[in-house]
Amino acid sequence: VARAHDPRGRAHSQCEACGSSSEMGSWWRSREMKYVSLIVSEDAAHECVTSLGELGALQLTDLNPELTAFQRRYVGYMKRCDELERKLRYMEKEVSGFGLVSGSGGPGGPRLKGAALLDALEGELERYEGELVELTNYATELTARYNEKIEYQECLEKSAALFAEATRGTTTAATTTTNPLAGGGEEPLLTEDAAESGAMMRFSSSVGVVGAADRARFERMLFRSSRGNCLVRFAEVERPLANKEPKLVFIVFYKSEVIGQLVDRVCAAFGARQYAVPGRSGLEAALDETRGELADAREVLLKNRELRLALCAKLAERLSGWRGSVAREKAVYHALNMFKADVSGVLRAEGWIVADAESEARALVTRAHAAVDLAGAAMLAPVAGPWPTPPTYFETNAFTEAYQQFVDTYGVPRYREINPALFTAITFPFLFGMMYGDVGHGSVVALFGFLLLARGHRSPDSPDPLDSLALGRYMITMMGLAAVYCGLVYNDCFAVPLDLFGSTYEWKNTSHAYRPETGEVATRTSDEPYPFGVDPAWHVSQNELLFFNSMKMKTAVIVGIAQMTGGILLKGVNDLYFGDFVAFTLEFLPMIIFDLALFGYMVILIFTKWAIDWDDRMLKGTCRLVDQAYKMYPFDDSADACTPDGELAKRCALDFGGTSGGCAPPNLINQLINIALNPGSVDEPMYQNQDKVQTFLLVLAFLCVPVLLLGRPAYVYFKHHHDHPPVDAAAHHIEMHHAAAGATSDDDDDGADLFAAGPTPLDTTHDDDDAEEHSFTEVLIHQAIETIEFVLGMVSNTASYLRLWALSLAHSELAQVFWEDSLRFALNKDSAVVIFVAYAFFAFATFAVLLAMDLLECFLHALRLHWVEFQSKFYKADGYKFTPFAFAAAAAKR
Amino acid sequence: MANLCVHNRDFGFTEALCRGFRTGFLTDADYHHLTQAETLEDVKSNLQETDYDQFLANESAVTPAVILECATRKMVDEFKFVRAQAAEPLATFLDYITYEYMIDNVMLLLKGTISGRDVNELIEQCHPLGMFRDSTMRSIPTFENSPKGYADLYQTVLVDTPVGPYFSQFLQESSESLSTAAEVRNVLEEVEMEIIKNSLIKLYLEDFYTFCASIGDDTAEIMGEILKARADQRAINITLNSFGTPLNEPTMRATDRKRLYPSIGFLYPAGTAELAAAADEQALGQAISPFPVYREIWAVHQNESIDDRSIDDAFYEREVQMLELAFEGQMHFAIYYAYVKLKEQEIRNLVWISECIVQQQKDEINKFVPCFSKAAPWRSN
Repeated sequence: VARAHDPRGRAHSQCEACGSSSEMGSWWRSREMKYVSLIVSEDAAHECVTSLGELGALQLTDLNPELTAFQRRYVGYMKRCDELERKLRYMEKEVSGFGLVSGSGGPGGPRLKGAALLDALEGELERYEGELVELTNYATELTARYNEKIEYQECLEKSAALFAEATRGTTTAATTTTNPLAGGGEEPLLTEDAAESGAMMRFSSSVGVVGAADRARFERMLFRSSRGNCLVRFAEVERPLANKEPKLVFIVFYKSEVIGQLVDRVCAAFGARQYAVPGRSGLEAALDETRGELADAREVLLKNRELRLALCAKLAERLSGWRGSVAREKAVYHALNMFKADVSGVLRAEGWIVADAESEARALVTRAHAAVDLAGAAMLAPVAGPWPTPPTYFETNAFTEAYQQFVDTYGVPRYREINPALFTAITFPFLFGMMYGDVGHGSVVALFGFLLLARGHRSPDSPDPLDSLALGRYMITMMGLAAVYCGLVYNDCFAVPLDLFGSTYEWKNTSHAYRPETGEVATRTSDEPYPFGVDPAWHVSQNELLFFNSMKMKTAVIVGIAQMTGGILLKGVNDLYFGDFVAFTLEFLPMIIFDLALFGYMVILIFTKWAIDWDDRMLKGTCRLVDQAYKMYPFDDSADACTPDGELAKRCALDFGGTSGGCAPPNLINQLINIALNPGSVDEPMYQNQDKVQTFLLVLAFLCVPVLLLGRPAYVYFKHHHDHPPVDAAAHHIEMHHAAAGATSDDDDDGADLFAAGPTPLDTTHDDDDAEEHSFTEVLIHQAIETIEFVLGMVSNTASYLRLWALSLAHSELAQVFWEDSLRFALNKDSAVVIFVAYAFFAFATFAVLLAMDLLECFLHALRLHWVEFQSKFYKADGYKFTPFAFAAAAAKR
Repeated sequence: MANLCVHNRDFGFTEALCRGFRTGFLTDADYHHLTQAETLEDVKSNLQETDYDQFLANESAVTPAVILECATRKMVDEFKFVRAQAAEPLATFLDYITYEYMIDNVMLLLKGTISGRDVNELIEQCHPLGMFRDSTMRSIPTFENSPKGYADLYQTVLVDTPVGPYFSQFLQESSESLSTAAEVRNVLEEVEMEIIKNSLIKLYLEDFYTFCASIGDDTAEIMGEILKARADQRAINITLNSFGTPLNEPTMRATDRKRLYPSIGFLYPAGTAELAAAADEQALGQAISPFPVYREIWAVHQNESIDDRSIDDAFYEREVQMLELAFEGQMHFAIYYAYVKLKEQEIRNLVWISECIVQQQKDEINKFVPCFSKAAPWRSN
């Protein structure tokens, strides 16, 4: 609590001191913000907000949080915008009904401003909508009429055929009566009656059209309601109807009027239109007449369609322009709703503005007012403190955006805090590469990255799955390139070593091929080191794993400690920047000393072991070279003569102590463990006085712990009891009081401030004491947790970085299995079929396991190393994002 | 136990959906804002801030009827989405929920035709959860209003629908008693309709209850409670509404009226036996007084003139409480039922509020039963 105020207060003064931040710094620390109040005249408010929206550098605070949506000032305009949007949606539906795509761009709304624009848009859209609705309604009507004509004509034609069929063989027709409930109790009456009397004309009939999908149910319903006393026949409507719906002509024969009514009822229920078909004599005439009517109806319908198409084409061109205008207007009124109208005719807003853009915004506001002859009425000025917590704003580009999102996912940086994304942009791909290191696989990833780069920016909302990766295109490319680099270091290409520079090892006894299985030892042919990466001979040696594990583990620890040390240094830089010298001396310094004394030293030991020429050292441990050794390291002649089977320490020409005396390479792991477990003695030292140095470093590191644990609490405690005046929290309290009273306050000296506040009532001070007591325990507990986390964290995080080795090992082993057990095995078989099958397996396994699964795994572990191991050292991550009022962002969101 | 093991595998998704929908209920603050509204446009913009969001965006004019229609449509869309994801036996359970609306729709159509209203208008009024095919809907009103007509209706149309069995059972039972009361029957056109409806709902409730019992576990228990409470509510309401109608005549009390009482519920059988004998309100109060819950509700009825709360309000409150409780448990189906019913209650509230605004009855506006309200009487103490 006590800490929270102080750094931020300093931050502001610091910002003013440094002036406008340099261009470089815009990703290093977030952009400077100012909390400004904007006072505008109501007449120019719309224009002001529009130009600010175009600038997009102001985040408005809602000054009317207590008002609900409909109590706000500009709700009427919002509603008008909603109504316009409704009209636009309707038009869009109609337009897309014609398969037209609304063009991008377009002239947009009329070049008007404010309410005039809305009026004009409303008028225009109203007119178009009216026109469209009228045409559409007319189209519905015409379609119905046209369909009716077609149906009628079909009825005329089909009924003639059906009549003919029915008369041709009454008996046949009757026996094939469709009986959907086959085996129903009652026999259709038609059978006997019609067959006996043969008087077909006694039956009445009804002709109509019903939807094809309803056929079965229509038939069933007719059968049920007439109890089987009717005969139905169907024929398809062949001419396409205007709405393409499949329909059937039906003809129902029945006997009595009662059933006729039933049939009518069923037809009504199914929406089946019935048509009166004239007798055989009038049929021809009716057909002719309908044909003519049909042609007319068709023409009218086509004409209407043409008109609609023309209108929709016109609308399609302008739709997106209109949509843009309406969306902008809506955004403007939404922003205006956050303004407060304290004095009539004047609106006031508050919000965060990017410090660099302040003067530009002021110019815009003044210009907008000048346009309505109110030049003096506007004001954009910083609000007197204390300000609320400022938002964090980074300008990102195509390359940095993905990394920034990475970091923001964990937590948005605190205002003006060092942005971890800057480091992540380099270290993330590299740590990924260390785990994924393989030239072949890395190249595939890099090629994929290049493909994404070539496709360029895409909207993440698009359905194409590749487009959703477009955001990370630079990241993927970098990851691929880092993997290629590390692959070259490991000398791995699909688990096959590359002999790029010629191996410096040779198996002397075998001229034909390497036969490491026989236990032969390779010898070096040259003293020159292999120019880059690991000598390929290691990949075919029997101690391949031992060698690579040792190398990769060590590099993992080195990289890890480097990154963590970097993180701790960043904490120091942050503390200095925010002026928190307490944290710098009592937290950062012990931390960095602890880190360097224990873990930095570990790195030094690793390099020391690498740098020593162990061949030479081990020679010194043999009696053969004892003479030379005496020459190089002259010491007491009276020492024991060298005995070949004596203790190594005695044989050794060096005298570093321990069991080896310095003539044998130490087991680094044991040595490191023994620093802590067995202080003061080194089994196999590498240099003179190693034990003393180590003891010193250990004591130094352990001394740091109590400083870290008790330093800040002690500071808080002493500051409170010695200086008597309550510190930070209470001072802050009073300061707030001042600010409210209108006095300006600088927190240079807390004590002076308190006295300036005049005599405070005694009980208040007492309360503050209590609060201080409370905050002291809080600080103590907090610090204890921090200390434990840091000390234990350093150990466990270092171990955690070993995942760099573990995943790299897993990757190379998997790749090796796929290579050796499928492809190499097949190549040795020398059979085309086997190679074909084995290659398929190899390719599939490589893709699925290594290029898909392992890639994701390495990605996640690299992410974790950044989020947990790196960022925990310095990153506060309690900021919030700057969300400016900007048209561009609003448009992108749509 | 076995059901608990696999419940989430089978119904986890739908349950999550349903619990997600639960967060869409209007809060006390939302209701507060709504009751402050001056016009329906205000109601619309207030609802835009809630889960209802843009549900009125495409309507050019807002009326209580439009609000009812759109809100119902939203609820039905959500329900249908859950239904589309449901596996058995949840699918059947969800279908059972819709049967009630089907019965309502059939009765609405039948009643509407007696009063000679247009079919299209009636169909528009039907609840979308209980929709049949258009042709089925249209053929229902074409049958005459007589026992024979109903028999025809069942045989030609309703036999294909899920509510057919209830209708056939009803027809069977009424034909058994037809001989005794045939002459009285023809007189009661309007009452006849109510009898049909109540009989169908009774049969439906009993069937649903049996089905829930067959699912077992918590579903049987929680749904059992809810359905029993509904059955009791029906029994009490039927008795109360029968006073002053031919149904209350001594000859019909024990036969026709008693047959309308569902054979489930806390009142059944002892309570319903007494209800069957009740001839006036006093006797009715006497009959349900052994049940503390109903005694309280009855007290509300008796104080109606003072407190301005009807017995329906009391029943609604009790129902809302039970339905809300259903959300407290897990691994049962009652939440789907509760969701539909509570949403229905919420829509009723919305319509009530908008009607009050339209009719300028601001003092009546707070007389609704909010769902999941922090201020509900069963939460406040």
